[in-house]
Amino acid sequence: MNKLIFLFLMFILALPPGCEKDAGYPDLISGFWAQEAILEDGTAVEMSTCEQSTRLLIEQNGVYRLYSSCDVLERSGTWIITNETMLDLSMDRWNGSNKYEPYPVRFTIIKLSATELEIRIRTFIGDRKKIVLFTPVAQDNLAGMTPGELLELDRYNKTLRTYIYRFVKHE
Amino acid sequence: MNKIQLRLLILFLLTILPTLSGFGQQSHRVAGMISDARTGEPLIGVNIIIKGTFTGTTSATDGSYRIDVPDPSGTLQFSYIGYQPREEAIGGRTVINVVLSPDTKVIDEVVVVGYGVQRKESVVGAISSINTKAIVSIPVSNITQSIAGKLSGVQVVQTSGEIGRDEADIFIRGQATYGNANPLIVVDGIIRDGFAQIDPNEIQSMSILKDASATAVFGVKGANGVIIITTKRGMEGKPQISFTTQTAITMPTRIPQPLDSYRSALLSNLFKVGGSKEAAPFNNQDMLNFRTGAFPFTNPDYSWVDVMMKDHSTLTQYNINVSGGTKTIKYFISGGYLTQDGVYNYDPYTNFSRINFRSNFDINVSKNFSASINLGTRIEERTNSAAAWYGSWEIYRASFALGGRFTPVFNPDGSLAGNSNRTNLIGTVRNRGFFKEIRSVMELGVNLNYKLDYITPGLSVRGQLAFDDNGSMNRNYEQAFSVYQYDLKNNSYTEFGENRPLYYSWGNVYDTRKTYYEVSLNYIREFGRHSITGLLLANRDLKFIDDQTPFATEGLVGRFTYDYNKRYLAEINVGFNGSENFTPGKRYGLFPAFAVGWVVTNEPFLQNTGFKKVVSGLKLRGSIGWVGNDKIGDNRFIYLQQYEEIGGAMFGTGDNWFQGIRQGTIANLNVQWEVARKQNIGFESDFFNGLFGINFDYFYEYRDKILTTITNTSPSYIGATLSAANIGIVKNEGFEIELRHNKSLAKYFSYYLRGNFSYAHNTVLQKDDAYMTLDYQKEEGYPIGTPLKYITIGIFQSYDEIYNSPPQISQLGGIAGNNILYPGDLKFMDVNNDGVINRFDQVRTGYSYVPEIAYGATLGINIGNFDISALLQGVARASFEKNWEIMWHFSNNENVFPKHWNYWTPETAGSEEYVRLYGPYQNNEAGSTYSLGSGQYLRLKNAEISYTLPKSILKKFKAESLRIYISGVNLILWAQEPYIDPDNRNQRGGNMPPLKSINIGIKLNF
Repeated sequence: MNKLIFLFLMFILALPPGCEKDAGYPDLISGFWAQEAILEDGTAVEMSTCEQSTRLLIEQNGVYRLYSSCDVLERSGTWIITNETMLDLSMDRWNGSNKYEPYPVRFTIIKLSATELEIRIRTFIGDRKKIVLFTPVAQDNLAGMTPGELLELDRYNKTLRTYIYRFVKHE
Repeated sequence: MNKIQLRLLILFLLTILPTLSGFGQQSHRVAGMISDARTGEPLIGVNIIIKGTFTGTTSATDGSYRIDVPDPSGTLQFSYIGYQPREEAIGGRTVINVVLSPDTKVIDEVVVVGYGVQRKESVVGAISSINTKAIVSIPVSNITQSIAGKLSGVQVVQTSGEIGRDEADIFIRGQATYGNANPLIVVDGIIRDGFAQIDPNEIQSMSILKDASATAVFGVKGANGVIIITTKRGMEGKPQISFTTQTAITMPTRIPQPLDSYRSALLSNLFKVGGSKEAAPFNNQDMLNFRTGAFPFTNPDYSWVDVMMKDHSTLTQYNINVSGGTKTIKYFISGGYLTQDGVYNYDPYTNFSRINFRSNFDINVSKNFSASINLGTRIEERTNSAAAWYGSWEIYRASFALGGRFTPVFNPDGSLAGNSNRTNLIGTVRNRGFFKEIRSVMELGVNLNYKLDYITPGLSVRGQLAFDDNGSMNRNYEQAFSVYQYDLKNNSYTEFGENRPLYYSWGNVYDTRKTYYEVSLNYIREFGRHSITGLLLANRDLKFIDDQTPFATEGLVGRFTYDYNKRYLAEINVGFNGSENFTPGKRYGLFPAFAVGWVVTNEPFLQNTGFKKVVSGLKLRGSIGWVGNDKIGDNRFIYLQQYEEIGGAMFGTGDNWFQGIRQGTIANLNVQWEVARKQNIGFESDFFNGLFGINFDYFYEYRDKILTTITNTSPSYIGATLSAANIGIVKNEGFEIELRHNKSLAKYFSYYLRGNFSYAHNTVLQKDDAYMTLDYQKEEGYPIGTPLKYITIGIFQSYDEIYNSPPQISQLGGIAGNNILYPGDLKFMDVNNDGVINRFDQVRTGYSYVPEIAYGATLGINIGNFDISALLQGVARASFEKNWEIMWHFSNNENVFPKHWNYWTPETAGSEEYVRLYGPYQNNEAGSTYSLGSGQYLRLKNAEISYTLPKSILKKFKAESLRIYISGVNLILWAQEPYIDPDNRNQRGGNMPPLKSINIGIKLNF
């Protein structure tokens, strides 16, 4: 009887930790990612050459680097995941005159695995333009606009859009 | 009769005499042991009486007894103080062992009332009381913290846990005035300024007098209710020595903890760049340094809360007291010491210590003449860092308000870090000097009582003289310190400030002296079934505070009670007193109160009925009366015309000019006290001989002539300010319920349950609201202190929603100063449906800071020598304003808190904890229900486990009892308010919160 109990205990101890937690988000999200797709309000957007060449290097120490073939700068910033699904990136935001300022942008992680990363942000079109949401976009040129056109542009920039960015692990 | 007949007669008499006498020759001996049902310990000194006779004995030191009874079929009665009496039919037995059960029913056979005592069964006023056992083992520095949840009709709000200054605010039946609502404090029959610093081991009982019949005798001072403290007195018997020591570890219940430096910097950039279009305060390198922690001297990451607040501090108390006496003199002498250290690290100063001494003597000088001398003294010493002498602001508040991302705590060389704009809290607490206050209090009372039975039985005359002295000496010593800014690149330091040694800065002395005189005639008499008592009392009170004009009150008090056969009760109380706060000729007022009661269960027709078996006790009572409140604070002498010296009106020329004077505040010749008409009905009931009990009271109070500031209804062309006037009216009504249940389930197991629930709701009926105030914005019609707010109905989710909602910006007639709205801003209700949101949409909403509902429930279990008890205490319907640091992001550009991290974005809409984080503040900080904090909470207020050692072990040490206990206070808090203790009603959260304590103690009796 005692032998049976001993064997049972050894069996229990020898069991692999099958219930261990999945690797944490910092481990999964670290790596070199290539932008694969952009969805705007659920519809895939035809990506430009710049967007196709966007690469995102996420380091475990909380730093990320952003590369794009048509962006003059290698951009960098910091990242943090909180509340399990909230990803905050400190990104470049155009200040309206002459430079970019570091600015926190909040995404929801929709999917994260060893090979895929999908994040979502719902934001105003005007804010989207100002922030380098992985590639810079042209700023509004207000020169020569009529008041009516300015009003129309203002209304457009205040429209909400949902963007989903898909990345795949790039070797 | 011949010799033979005489001998036969003698023989016959000798045979029958024992039978006739019934004792001695044919008595029946009964013996046995008497023990405690709970512990099994023998009971010493139990009274054993043969029923129907005066013959009896007492049990010996081992609990044994022996008694000769004439009739083996008789009955023995066993009685012992604190235990339920018992009868045993002898039934021919020679051995009768008896087990007595403790009487867990509250043995308040006598209740302390105003200027006297009354038997509990004849009390017709609304009075709650607790005894010392309920408060003595709670690890707090002052008693006001130990009564929350224990008494119905009492609301306790502890707004600060500052060491040595943590007295709670106490309200009896809520608030019925927006003036001074503090209750009257009476200690051993004398009105005193407070009772918080009395050693709990000195206190026998505390009574709360709530309705007019109980408080009318206090006349102009009784309207807010009365708290009566009675200290212990000696009893006849050998000296009883009691020694108590307890030590507690304490910590604040809840402190807001700011976000870490990295996230604070992220949000700081959002705040500046998103809204103000300014440059980001922290560049990418800063963000990287914060995120990685690689450069702690240039990009530090710490919280001042973690640096400054200790994990715990300590509180230690000792008390030794001795009581006893003879037929001639009885005494109670007590000495106590308490010390409590501060809650800050690096703090060499903060400490509160207190020495208490009390001696009460009762002397029977002769058969008719007795005297008592009561002396209570204490010395309180408070030492604080100089930055904290007036409160928690510069250290406690600063610890959670100041950011930890600007300068490190220490430089590489160990010096205090800082710069021209930033100080260092370690230096603030350690190097700014210290403040010391020493307060000495002496409260002396002498009573002389002389029985005048020779005039008429039951009559006595009593005189009382009291002298109180309360003096404090304060000294402030200051020093200064430098901080140093480290330049990493050059490895150099720049000094800011100056190191200066300690020096004496300022000091003052305060002194308050009071004398009190009282003479009274008392009458207590029973005429068959009629019991009457009478009281006629005159008193005078004179108080000197420093060099102020003395404060004086005097008056006459009368009380008459009648009791028919313990069934029908009636009481009349009258106070006729005056206060020099008011105009001569209008200083006196008459305050009568009437009360009746009916002890239903004493009716003969109910005896031995089924009803009486269930309802063992039922008393109905009701009262109505008038009492006053003369606490007018700074409005003293407003019946005198004020004149003031002002600039601008010069008389004379050259060097001979002098300033003119002008009429100041216009006098109010009719100023008087507030008057409260109080009505109360209630019942007290017992079921199944004390198994259950319910008490209920409903009260209604109408208080008028409340002194009210007149600023709003006098036109400006008068050119002067009117004094306050007695125009305010408030009504206050509610109810209280007390429940109790106790049961012994087995020889060594019993339990009790106590519960109380109080509800008090007041309404301002008349006050001086501003001219043309809208009806729904006036204070009239709402409880005192109900805030005026916009009603928040949500957060704008899009620009379209903003355009389609009533405008809130000033350009369109909205809120003044509110010039722009963003999605993520608060949306307010258009209360008056006029299509725009402005000040006319503000309404009275929320509650006052005094809770309308207060409740408590205590469960106690006795298992052999173990006692376990727990008290849950809670309040509801209370609000407090939240502003600045504990509400809004980056107050003074400093900190943000976890809720700010969950700010509104279009992505997180619906799950946000906070509004948008950038842009102007005027809309969101316009004053809405969004910033109204809930004062509702439930606490595990007290818990205690104790063990009393068996007497068999203690006999060797000649000790009577030894009790070891572990207790705690404020152990668990459940509250709607997530970040600060809801009792911390400072709108910036700047008061030190109440402390949580875990305590271990020993009580040894000889």
